[in-house]
Amino acid sequence: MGEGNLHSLEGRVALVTGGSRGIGRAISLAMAEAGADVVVNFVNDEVSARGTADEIRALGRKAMTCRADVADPDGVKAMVGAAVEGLGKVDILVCNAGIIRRDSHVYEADLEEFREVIENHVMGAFNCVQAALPVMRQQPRGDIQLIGSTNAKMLPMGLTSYNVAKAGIEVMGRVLSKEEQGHGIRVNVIAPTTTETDMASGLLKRYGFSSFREVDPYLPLGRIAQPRDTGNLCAFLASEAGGHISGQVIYVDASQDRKPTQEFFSSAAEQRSGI
Amino acid sequence: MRVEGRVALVTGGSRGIGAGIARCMAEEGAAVVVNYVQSERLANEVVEGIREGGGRAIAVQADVGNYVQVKSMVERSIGEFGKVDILVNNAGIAGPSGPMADIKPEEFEEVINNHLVGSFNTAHCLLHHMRGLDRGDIIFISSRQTDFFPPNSSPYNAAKAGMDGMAQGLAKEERYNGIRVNVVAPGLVPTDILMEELRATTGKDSVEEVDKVMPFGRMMRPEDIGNLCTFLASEQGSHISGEVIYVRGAVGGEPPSFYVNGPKPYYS
Repeated sequence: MGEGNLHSLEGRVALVTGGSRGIGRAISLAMAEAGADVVVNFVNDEVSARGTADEIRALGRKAMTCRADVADPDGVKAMVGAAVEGLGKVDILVCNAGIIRRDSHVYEADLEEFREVIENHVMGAFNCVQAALPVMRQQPRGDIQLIGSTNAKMLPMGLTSYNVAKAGIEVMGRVLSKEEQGHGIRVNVIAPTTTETDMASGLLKRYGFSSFREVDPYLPLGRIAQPRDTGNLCAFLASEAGGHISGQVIYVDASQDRKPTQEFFSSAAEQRSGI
Repeated sequence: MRVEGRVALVTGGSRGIGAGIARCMAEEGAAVVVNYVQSERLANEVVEGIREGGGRAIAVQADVGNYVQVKSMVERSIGEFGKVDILVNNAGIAGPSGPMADIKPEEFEEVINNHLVGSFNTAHCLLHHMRGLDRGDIIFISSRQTDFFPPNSSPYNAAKAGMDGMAQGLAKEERYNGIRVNVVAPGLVPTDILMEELRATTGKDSVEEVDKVMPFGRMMRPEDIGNLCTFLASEQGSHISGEVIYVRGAVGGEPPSFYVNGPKPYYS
């Protein structure tokens, strides 16, 4: 079991979709800190992707950036090809890329927006997994990590497309873990709660806060989830120390469970104003 | 995944999975209380091993099903190390095997008392203490069985399901007190008892031979459980609470006979 390097990812290559910013960036950096080389996928924000790649190189690991829309199967295949050419292989795949569309009930939901969210998450993960599996099966060990969301158990009304997409990802991960176990491939779903990223700053404004630090004391375990909470778990699961964990859906939510994040924010706002 | 400066109380820490957890916690810097009820010699061996590695550990006897004994174990632990901020409820007994119709009520009670009441006792004796600390961690060691509830195991199924439920409610109760509560549910680990069964069901004589047929290259070891517990108690795992995580190797955690003799349904 390799005393002392149980947590090392040295010699491994991680491809992180949506790896340029937020949680994806944190996963990329956690992998690199543990010793992996990293392919940082992005679709729009090349500047951030390059920035993340520079940070990885500063840690002494190899990095490359790769533009691809995960919803495009050909683009994804080309990306995996480029990754193998550039860094030799892919044996850790993290499907993190995701989008969220406006809050609306099914009754009035926009068909195109609904389709877009499903395409991006569910088809996106499918495309990446299918493109990476032939490469991964040749390695002694492979890790596929699908980034889910607490939405899949909270199921807030109005965010149907996102809920359905993340629930689909959970099921895909659980089935895939069975299909690929004979090839030494571990598959897990890591599902964060509302995390301190650009995506969550809207919530801050909606409840009249100017900083996440103001809300921290009202949240479970005294702080909002950080991108690194998810990144650390991903790196652990890909290591020898986490090597016997597969087929799991692990929520990184400080026991928030099914209580919607906005309820914590609204009760924080109430308590602060002394209601 | 350091847990330096922390103190872990591992119930049933003298053997098997508990010993693995105790060693992992110590390797990552925690002082460890190795609880045992009968295996004094083995508990002392675990303690000596930890001390030889430069760690701090003591062995403390207590039957977790007995509140008075648990209370004095907790007091002794705090007296020795100043605090207990990691509790791992690992102590357990296998219980009778057979249809519920044929189980003696005393047998049922014994299993429930050991796993479920035992976990309550340790947590209850430590919660107020932990609330006064910066951080507390309570980890319940459950079982792969809570994912599929096999027949002929009603006391064990009930005890472990009860632990899962208690842990998830407790996580919410304590989430503003800095206390993380998680369930780690192991699959099959080669213990003496299991090895006998392995010989009978697979014809393989050693763990190493069985390792070769397993999907991830080997059967699980106690350290696989210990590593996850240590991660959860470390800074890196600090935002995970209220989770039930199965550590069972390849997905279903099927017994090795599954991979040697081919698939067979659980209910056979």
